[in-house]
Amino acid sequence: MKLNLIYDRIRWEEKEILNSCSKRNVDYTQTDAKAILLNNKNSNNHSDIFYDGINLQRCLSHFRGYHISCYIEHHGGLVINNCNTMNICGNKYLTSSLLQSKNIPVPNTICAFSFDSAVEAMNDLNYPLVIKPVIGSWGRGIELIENENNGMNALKARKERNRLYDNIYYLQEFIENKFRDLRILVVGDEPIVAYYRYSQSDEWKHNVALGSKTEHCKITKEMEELTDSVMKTMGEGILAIDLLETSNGLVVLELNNNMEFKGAQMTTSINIADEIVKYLIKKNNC
Amino acid sequence: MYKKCIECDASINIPSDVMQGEIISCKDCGLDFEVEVKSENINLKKAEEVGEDWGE
Repeated sequence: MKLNLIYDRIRWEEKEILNSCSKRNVDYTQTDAKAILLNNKNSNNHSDIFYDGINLQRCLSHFRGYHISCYIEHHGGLVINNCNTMNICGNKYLTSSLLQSKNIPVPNTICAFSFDSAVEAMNDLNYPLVIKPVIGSWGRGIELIENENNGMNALKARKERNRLYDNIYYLQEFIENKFRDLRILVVGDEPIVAYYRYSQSDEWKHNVALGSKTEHCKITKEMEELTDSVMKTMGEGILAIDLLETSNGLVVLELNNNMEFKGAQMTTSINIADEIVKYLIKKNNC
Repeated sequence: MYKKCIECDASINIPSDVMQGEIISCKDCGLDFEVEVKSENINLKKAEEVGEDWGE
């Protein structure tokens, strides 16, 4: 098998994946996404790199990776994760909407498309609530809104910033939690690792990028069933499912298609990078 | 191997197992560099700044 790793930064995770390739004698190439030219007049340019084996999309930049993956898929190449998965997971609203349509539990969420309708949505959801950018990661731009005054200030700030997607107001009920959330890592369609992420004492978000600590969590029947529903909806791939515990069971906060797993690796003896490589070998032989 | 930081002139230690595309930070000024491996040569170029769409 030949693996082409598409990257824009080599993080700890990419190094681990490539180390695992070396141990398994998997022939691999590294393609720097920043140097790629997708020339539609000469699509054979990339034939050896993109179409001779399997591509693993690991760009940190969502849109950079998404465009390249679409190109590969449109020209008959195989890329993990696929474009549809990237498109859905890369947008929090598309994720919530799709999961909810399949009766997978998600927090109460309203998407509004103007300042005035966002005010209406905040009143419908009640406080506290959370406002999130539809595109973004590592907890950036996510605000806890405790009252109407906070909410108006957050909406005004977005209106003034007026960045791409700032007029898509993704508002969600705030779910009280025990200073932790839960993440399941899925490779193929199997949950391989589950772990808690405990936030720092003054932080209500649980991203490892914000300093949260990780702890092993046993995969329960409920988690297996939820993973099964999510993966039937998304199709197989390599995903992280972020969950919150509620009195009515688990709810899915978001899906991550370009998962980081350094924090997860500290909680388990399963070699996550190697599980990814084993899956890619299997997928390539299909 | 050591390289000079273009920002503060400090010495940056390059690990022997460094990979193409890896990020190395200057311990003195904190500037991030991306590693470029060209045949036997290793160059450091200023890394991209974190983008709005970066992450998982």
